[in-house]
Amino acid sequence: MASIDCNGLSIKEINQAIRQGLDKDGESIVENPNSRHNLGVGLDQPGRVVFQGSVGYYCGGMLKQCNIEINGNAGWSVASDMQSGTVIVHGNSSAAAGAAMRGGTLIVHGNSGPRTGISQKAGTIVIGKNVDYMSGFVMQRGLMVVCGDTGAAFADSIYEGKLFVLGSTDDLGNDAVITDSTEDDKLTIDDLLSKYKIKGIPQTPNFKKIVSGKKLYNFDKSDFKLWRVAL
Amino acid sequence: MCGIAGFFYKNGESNIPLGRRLTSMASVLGSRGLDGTGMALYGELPDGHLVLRIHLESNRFNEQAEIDLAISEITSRLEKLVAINNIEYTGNILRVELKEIEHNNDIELMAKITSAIEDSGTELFSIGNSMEIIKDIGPAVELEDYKVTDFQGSHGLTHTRLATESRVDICYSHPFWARPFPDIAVVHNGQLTNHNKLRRSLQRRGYEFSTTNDSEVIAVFIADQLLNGLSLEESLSQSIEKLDGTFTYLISTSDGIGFAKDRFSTKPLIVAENKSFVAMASEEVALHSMISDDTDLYEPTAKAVQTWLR
Repeated sequence: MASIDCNGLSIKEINQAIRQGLDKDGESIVENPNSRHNLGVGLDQPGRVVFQGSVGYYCGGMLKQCNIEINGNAGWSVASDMQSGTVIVHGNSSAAAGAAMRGGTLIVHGNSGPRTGISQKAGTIVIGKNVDYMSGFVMQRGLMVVCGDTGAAFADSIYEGKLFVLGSTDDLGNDAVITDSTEDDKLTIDDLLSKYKIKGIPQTPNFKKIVSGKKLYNFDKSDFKLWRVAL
Repeated sequence: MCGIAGFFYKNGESNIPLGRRLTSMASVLGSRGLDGTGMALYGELPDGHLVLRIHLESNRFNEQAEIDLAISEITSRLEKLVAINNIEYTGNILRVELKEIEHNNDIELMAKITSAIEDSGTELFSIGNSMEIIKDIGPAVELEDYKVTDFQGSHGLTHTRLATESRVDICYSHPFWARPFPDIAVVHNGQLTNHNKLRRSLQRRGYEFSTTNDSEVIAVFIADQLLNGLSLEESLSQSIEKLDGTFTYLISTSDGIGFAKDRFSTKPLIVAENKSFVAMASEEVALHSMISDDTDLYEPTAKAVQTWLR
């Protein structure tokens, strides 16, 4: 099995070694990632990559097929533009985690920073703890589950998709409305939480479901006040 | 982009010099900007003693005699106001240690010292009982000339600059001193949009600025709040309401350090804290060399402020 020590290697060399490991063994273990940027970007082959420590910005960007596990924290934009596969962060993630993702699954066991899942287009995001300011902004499709509290302006100006929050939703964004969860929703969440072993969830969790109010779909003079804030 | 970092020894000092801590962070953060590097270092001087750091642009002078002339000009101007204990000249920076004065915080005297020096055509980087600001063009290694890695101290700030709003010039690089308040400095990552308005309102109240830079306004704004009797934490909270634009900034006083983040959480900051120190930096990579299992590592949220004081 390939084990790659990042010390002394350039990012290009590390990423090439990761691909070679996947080709040969279907697995790459990356030691000493030391929060460096652009690790595991653009991977497009099945297999498993494990980072034994924190990664910097853009880890797992544009990911296809591959399963990435990060035994540490992730910097800005982890798993952004992901197409398929999974990214599991065992620590915290910073701003714009899962930005514009089109498929696949992003799991963050800790907290996630501002603008988590911004412009999410499909796929699943599960955050084990809290998310910061303006997470879920302009979501177009997909699923986001937050097991902690949400920051200000959560789920602002979303089009479609579903967001579930276990903690507080004191400051929802424009046109975000709370609605009732269906039995299917509950099963989906249960499956996700048990599959990825999310900790600290009560026996019968009561997730709030947030969807688009669709008031911003078409301009309506009577909603002018809402538009002024939204734009 | 810019990189900012701060360090605070909870028990005052340690066998690892403060300067080495800040240099290691500034070197790593060089990837966020190499146009200039600066530090605000807090050491220990007896009460009443002040250190001035004055920028003499060495390439302005053709020969040693001209430098000597500039130094003697500064000396004679200073001696009309205060007594000088010691003068050293390294790199581009003159370090002047004053003899004991009655009040460290005599703002009027500080303002007089500042204009006396700056009227001679040089820039005063800092006045401090404990603080010294050192900055130069280029990456962290350029500060080696000033022997910063040996600097023993309790806390400090550092900044690596990517010039976006004003030219590559030492005078526009961070940390910015809150002139004329001794011992207050700021490093800032971001852009303010209402800095001209704020500067004008502070100028109307008598404050002077050495640049048109947005970050210098933050330093003076906070110093003014402190003068009005607010605590450092209250001043930081106040700044989140009054400053418009994007910012994560770190502030330091003789008592300690703190940070404030804008309402959009635009700019990054990671904090590492354990029982002996607090270290903060734009990126986690700058903290790696100093964190261990007992270190609490976290990213503050939008609108967060926090201070560590002695």
